[in-house]
This record gives sequence, structure tokens and C-alpha cells, in this order.
Amino acid sequence: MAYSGLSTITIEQILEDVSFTLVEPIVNTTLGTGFAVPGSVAVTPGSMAGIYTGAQLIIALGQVTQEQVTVTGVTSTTFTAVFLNPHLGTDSVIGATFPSGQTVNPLFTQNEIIGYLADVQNDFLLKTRCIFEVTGSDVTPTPPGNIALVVNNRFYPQPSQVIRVERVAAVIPGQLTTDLYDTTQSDLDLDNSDWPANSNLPKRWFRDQIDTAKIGLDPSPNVGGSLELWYSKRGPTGDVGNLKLYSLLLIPDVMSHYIKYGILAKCWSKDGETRDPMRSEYCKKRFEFGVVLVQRFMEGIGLDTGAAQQSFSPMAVPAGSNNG
Amino acid sequence: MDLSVEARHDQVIRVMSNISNLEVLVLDRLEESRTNSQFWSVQNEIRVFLVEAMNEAALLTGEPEIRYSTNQGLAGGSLVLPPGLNVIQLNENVPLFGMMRLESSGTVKKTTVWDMDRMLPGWENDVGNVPDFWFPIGLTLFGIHPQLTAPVNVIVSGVAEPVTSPRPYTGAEPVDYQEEYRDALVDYATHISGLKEGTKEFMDSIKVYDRFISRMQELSKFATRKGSLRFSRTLGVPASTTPVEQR
Repeated sequence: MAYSGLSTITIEQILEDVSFTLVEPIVNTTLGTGFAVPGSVAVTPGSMAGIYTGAQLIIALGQVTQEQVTVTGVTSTTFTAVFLNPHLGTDSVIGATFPSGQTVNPLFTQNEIIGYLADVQNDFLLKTRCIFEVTGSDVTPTPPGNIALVVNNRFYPQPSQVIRVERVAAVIPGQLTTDLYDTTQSDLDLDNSDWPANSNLPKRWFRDQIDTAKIGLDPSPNVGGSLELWYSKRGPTGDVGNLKLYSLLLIPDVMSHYIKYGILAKCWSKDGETRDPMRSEYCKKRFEFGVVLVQRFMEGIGLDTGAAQQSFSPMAVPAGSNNG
Repeated sequence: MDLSVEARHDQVIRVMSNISNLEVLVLDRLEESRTNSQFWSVQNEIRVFLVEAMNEAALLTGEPEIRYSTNQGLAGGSLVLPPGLNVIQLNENVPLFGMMRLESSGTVKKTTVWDMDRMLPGWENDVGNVPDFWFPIGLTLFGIHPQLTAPVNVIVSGVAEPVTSPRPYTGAEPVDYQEEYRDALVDYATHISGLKEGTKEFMDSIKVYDRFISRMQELSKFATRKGSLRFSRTLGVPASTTPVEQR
């Protein structure tokens, strides 16, 4: 996950914001027991409030020994977890654990809320396309490298974090790095029906009528080299273990509260005793308002990516229609 | 209304300079004790809501606009363009989420990557001593032309994140909005505080949020004199750059 430098808010902090709104207790105590040898250790924290078997906690927040652990067992005064680092008894124990009803009939689980967060952030990024990355650049911490060209290979996969490729440039030894024209296979077909047989230095790229998450080149490269991709990017998915509690949001802090509202909209619309359509609708509208604000903000500073104009129809477009 | 009370309140507003000054007003509005709040955590809720208010205000109005220059003597408050790069990331030293202007020995012209590609194919390979063009790449990156041969100090300005210090907020964070708009931030935080109550009181408080929006509309109009209008109440009028920004 590459960080913008404008993002300081962690997954845990958003989970805490959600917890406060849902009136869920939060773990905020100290480890109580220090140990020098990592491994499975039973500790006696200052408070066991909110700690249950399966709870994920951040230990030693902000310290060099910071880590996330999962509680494997509890008593009334202790919890056990597998620690990777040694810790002091004064090290912090933090966690928005959503303990209500745990572990038999929980109202919410941490993994559920983290999943909501990942979905909401990616929805926000899709609708605003406000975060970009460039392959092979050492500006952001860990972008993927440029995509290696293979002689006579027309199709190339995009990096997994791509929402939409916005620009492609060919980096070929002995040649100037030059952008490729964005086109479509339909246009190429009209222009020259023999184009699939062409092999030369790539001049154009396209993404229509091929597999999801791939791009194609015309002509197919006749030399080695690489492709530099500029793209709007998504965040990690919410699969269990994909996001650490101390991971940062991908979007800048200034718009992080819309992620909270998106999560709350999901929390209050799920089945069960917490369902609250009124508040869910309110939060949904706040999320949508945030999307519009960011779209308009980007437009206002001369950074319109076209995300606001993405058309949508609930009906499939009939095959063969030619309405432009 | 008791004008003397109103006058005193106004005076309090005028001397405010940080979140602590506002949080007590939010607690007053919530009928919570200023020193021993029971239902809301000052650090984890009230201050967070006030920062949230400032963030939303920034997106609505495009304020505060900040100019980062080494001449200001700000700690880390400048940007040094590194050599050998076309793409540069805004960082915590220059916490602009809406970069609007770049100045080196002279003004660096703003353009787009699409214009660069069309007007100057192969621009990524060019090398020089000073930047002559810059363009935004999303909210967190920007590009320059040409690649530099040596680091260059630049002055950068744009819309800044209103609060740049990380959580937990201490209350000492400055409120970088004109004093006459700070009461709107209190309105916002008061309204959002009611979300966890979820009663009719919360629904009623939407009018208070509405008041915040109206005040931001006023601020946006006020800011138009400085730059572009970025907000309309109905969200129906497209935002646009001013002729000044287009140049």
C-alpha cells in the first residue's frame, strides 16, 4: 500500500470513530506483563474490558515493537496471544474490538467492519479517482515496477491495484520514452484490418474487447523494453488479514470522515437489532455528498479526471444498438 | 435576544485560536460539563468532530489556502524538487491536497499531462536546471518538466489540510479559518455529536448542519474574490476555474 504523505489516519482510528458512534467499548489499556521472549504469552492487562478470544489488538502503538495480535484465550484477568516482539508491561493495548455480544451473538465483528471499510474506501476511490500511482516510480513507497515488454506479445496485465489506466508510455532502450495513443480495437479495425499482424515499436494502446484488467498494444513490440503505466489506484480489499489495524487509509485525511459514514451506513442497514434505516440513509447521503464534494473540488482546481461524468444505466445496453 | 450576551459570545469567538477554544462551546451546546463530559469523549469525539468540520469546510470552500515558502521560516514548510524525476509526491511537509501554484525563480506554468503528451512528445526525457511546467496527477502527486539536474527549492501554494498534526488531537491545533466562520464549525460538531444518540433530537439537528452549509456557502462566496467559486448550495452549478487560474 503506497501512502500519499497526506494520510495519517489508520484503520484502527476509523474503527474507533465507528465504535464511538455505535456506543461500542474500546480497548485502551496497558499490557501489564512484560516479557523478553516472544511467543505465546499470557498477560495481565490493566483492564479486560472489550478483550475476548479472537479480538485483534494493537500492542505498543507507535513503538518499534508495535504489532497486531489476535487473542487466543482469556480469563477474567488475563489474555493470551502469540507475540512476535518482546514488550514492556507499560506497552499500550489498543483495539476497537466491537465486543457487544461477543463471542456468541456479536452485533458486529472486527473483520466485518474492516471489510466494510475496504469496500467503502474503494467505492470512494472509484467514484473520485483522486489517488494516482506511476509504475516504476520511486516516489511512492512501493509501486509495482514497469511492465516488461515481450517481443510479439500484444496483451499485458495491469497491476492489481489499478482502477483505470490513464496513460501508457513505452520505455524502450535507445528510444525516447514516449506516451502511446489511447485508442480502441474498433478504431484500429476501421483503420487497417491487418493491424493484428503488425510488429514494430508500439504506438497505441487499448483496453476494449479484451480480458478484464488487461491492456493491448498496437503494433506488437518487436523489441524488449517496458511499459510505464499511470493509473488511478484502489486500496486493498477487505479479505481477512489483508488490512492491518495500523495500516493507513489511502485517501488524504481531509476526506477520511466520509469513509466513516460509508461504514456506518452499512452497519445500520444490516439485519438485526442495530438496524436503523433513518441513520443509515443519513450516513449514505453524507458519503455521497463527500464523493460529490471531492469530484467538484478536483474540477475546481483543474483536475477533472472525468470520474463525475461516468454514466450509469441500470439497464444493459442492447447488443447492436448504435446510439453513440 | 440578550445583546450583551451575544456581544460577549462574539468577543469569545474573536479571540479563539485553537480547537480547545471551540470544544467547550460544543460541550455547552450539548449541555455537557466543560470539565467532565460524560456521554462524549472530548479527545476522541468532540475534537475529532471539529477537525471533521474543518475538513468538510476545506472541501466546500477551498479554504485555507496556504503558501509554503522557506522564507516563512516554517519547520519543514518548503518543497525541494529532487533531480531526475518527472513525478513528485506531496508530503507531510507540504500538506496540500489541492496544489494550485508552483513558483521557482519565476512562475512555473500549470498544464496537464495530456497537453504535455500532445504538445511535447517525449517530454519525459528532457533535462534542465529549472522547472518550466507542472501538472497535477491526482490529489497527491504532481509532475514537472523537465527533469532537474540538481535539487531546486520551490514555493508551492494551494488548499491545505486544515489540521496537519496526527491524532490524538491535543486541542492545541490551530483553527485556520477566519474568526467569523468559526461558529459554523461548532454547529457542525454539535450536529454530528448527536448521531450516536439517534433520536428525534438528531433529526432536528439537521437544521444545524444546514446552517453550517449556509455559512460555508457564504465563505465560498467571500473566497470568490480571491479565487474560484467551488461550491454552490444546490450542487447544480458546475465549479470552474477562474480566468486567473486558467492562465
